[in-house]
Amino acid sequence: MSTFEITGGTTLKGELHPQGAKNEALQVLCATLLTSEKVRIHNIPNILDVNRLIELLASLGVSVTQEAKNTYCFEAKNINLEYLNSDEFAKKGSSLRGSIMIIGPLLARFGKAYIPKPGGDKIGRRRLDTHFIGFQKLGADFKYKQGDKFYRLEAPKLKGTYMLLDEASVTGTANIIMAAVLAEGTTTIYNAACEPYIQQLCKMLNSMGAKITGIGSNLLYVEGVKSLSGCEHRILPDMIEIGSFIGLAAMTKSEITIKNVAYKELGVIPDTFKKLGIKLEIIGDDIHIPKQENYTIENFMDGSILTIADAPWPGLTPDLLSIILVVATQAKGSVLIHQKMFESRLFFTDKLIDMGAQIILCDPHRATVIGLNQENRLRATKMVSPDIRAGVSLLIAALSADGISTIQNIDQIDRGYENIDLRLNAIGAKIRRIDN
Amino acid sequence: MKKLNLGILITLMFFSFSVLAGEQNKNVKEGLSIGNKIPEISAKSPDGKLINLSDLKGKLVLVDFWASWCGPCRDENPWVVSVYNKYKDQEFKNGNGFTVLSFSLDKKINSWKNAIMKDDLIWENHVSELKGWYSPTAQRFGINSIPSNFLIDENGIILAKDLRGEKLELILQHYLKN
Repeated sequence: MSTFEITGGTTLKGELHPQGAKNEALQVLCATLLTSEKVRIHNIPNILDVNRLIELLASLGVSVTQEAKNTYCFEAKNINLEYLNSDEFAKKGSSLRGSIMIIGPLLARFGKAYIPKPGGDKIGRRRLDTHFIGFQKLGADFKYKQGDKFYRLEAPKLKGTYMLLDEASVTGTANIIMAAVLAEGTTTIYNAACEPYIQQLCKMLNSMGAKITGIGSNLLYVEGVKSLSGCEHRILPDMIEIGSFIGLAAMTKSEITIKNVAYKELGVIPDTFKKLGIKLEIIGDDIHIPKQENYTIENFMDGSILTIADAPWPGLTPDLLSIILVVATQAKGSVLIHQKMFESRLFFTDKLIDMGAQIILCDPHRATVIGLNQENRLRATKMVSPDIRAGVSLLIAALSADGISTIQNIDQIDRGYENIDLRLNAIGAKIRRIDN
Repeated sequence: MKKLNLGILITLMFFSFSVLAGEQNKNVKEGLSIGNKIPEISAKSPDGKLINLSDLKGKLVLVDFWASWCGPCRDENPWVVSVYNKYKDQEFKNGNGFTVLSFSLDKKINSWKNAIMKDDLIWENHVSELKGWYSPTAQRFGINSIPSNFLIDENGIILAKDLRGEKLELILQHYLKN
């Protein structure tokens, strides 16, 4: 396991370019299985989870060509369905949550799909019921025997239908859409996830010849077509990374410009940081964060203490709450962070408390942060990254802290952020990677 | 008497519906969904001439986002060319003639020009901002996948989107004036 050694307390200055969005990449990569024609995808982030999925596609028989640093061409002409039965697939597939989204396309195009029980972050149990109930409604047979390593789905022909999802699951919605595009007749999906990355998937599928309407809403109509063609697609910049950089700038009193952020697609994210008192300027499609000595948390209009909570899109993404929590530790004022969608994502606050932050962890879902107003710096410490988002939050804390911190298990950070050490060092950070 | 009242009521209803419909036509919302009025496009042709989408008002127009480096777009071009040749002078229920406005996501003017020549894209309306995916117009239209197109009527109202292969011709046939 590798480690970061971070010398904190320096201010950064310069431009950062956000990578392509991981959550979109996982979806659109799976969508390349829907056609025998070439699909070229631009702005693919070079991160572990994405690279593993690309490897998995290649093992399935997709011809993969890397044409530039972040551009790949995929051609799913000769798919080897036998691979789905192999031990190698059982091993590779189960370690990668994104692999669940190969089911929809495989089922739609080949009438069957097996998937090993997937793994992923340790951030609360995530059920897959939404996916499987959706496939069953489209006419697939679901088979799972206890002790079997695979979930097995088969359907000679999928048929469009109406479905109300039990939760607005992003990967569930993506999977069902990808199955429905080649089904017979129209599928209506209500309570569909509607975040920008789902919209991107829908637009890409339409570009390939699918007929999806209602894009951007939670009521999608998917009119099945016989086949899909190739296309060129560009992945949006990662909103989580953009949010992390805004937090980083404020916390370290740095002046940072984040380039080409696709501002229209950021939803409530910029305003949420503004509520913490962080100043942002929009210049073209860039976000400029000026150097700020301190920032003051707004109260609610009636004077009561601000609460920041996550919610399905267009609410605040749960992936940014740990960043917001860290940034609040140096704000002036208090805020309640309410993590509604996942449990156990707030346990990393223990580390922040060790570093001198004033936080009351109320229960597994809520933490009250009393800001230090940059009067007392956090103290450097040794820590272990529990998951991707907490990992980056701890990295931001360490960059603002006095002294040299270490973060172990940074593979968790590498899973979501491309060369984060090199990119931050380029604008003045002092991060050293120690490979064990 | 009752019958007469009912008659008047129905006439009134019809009248108010038609007035409302007329109003609606004038105030159609600008947007990118079917039924919306398409936003304006103003960009330069390969020889530097400014072309506005609104200049093509009166015709059915296919607004086509493509690029010389986009294989699938180049594969589509023969379909578009044949449809253009067949329907450019036809009369439609909602437009007099058919044309194409091709917006290219190219960065290099020469690759763009060569592709226009090579694929025989003989219509006049070729524009680009030569900024690839970062073209402001493409961003305004939320274009992150190509090929991507919009078919609009004589008033710029979006009739259909993302017509690939024979779908373009099928829809044009539907709107042909008999």
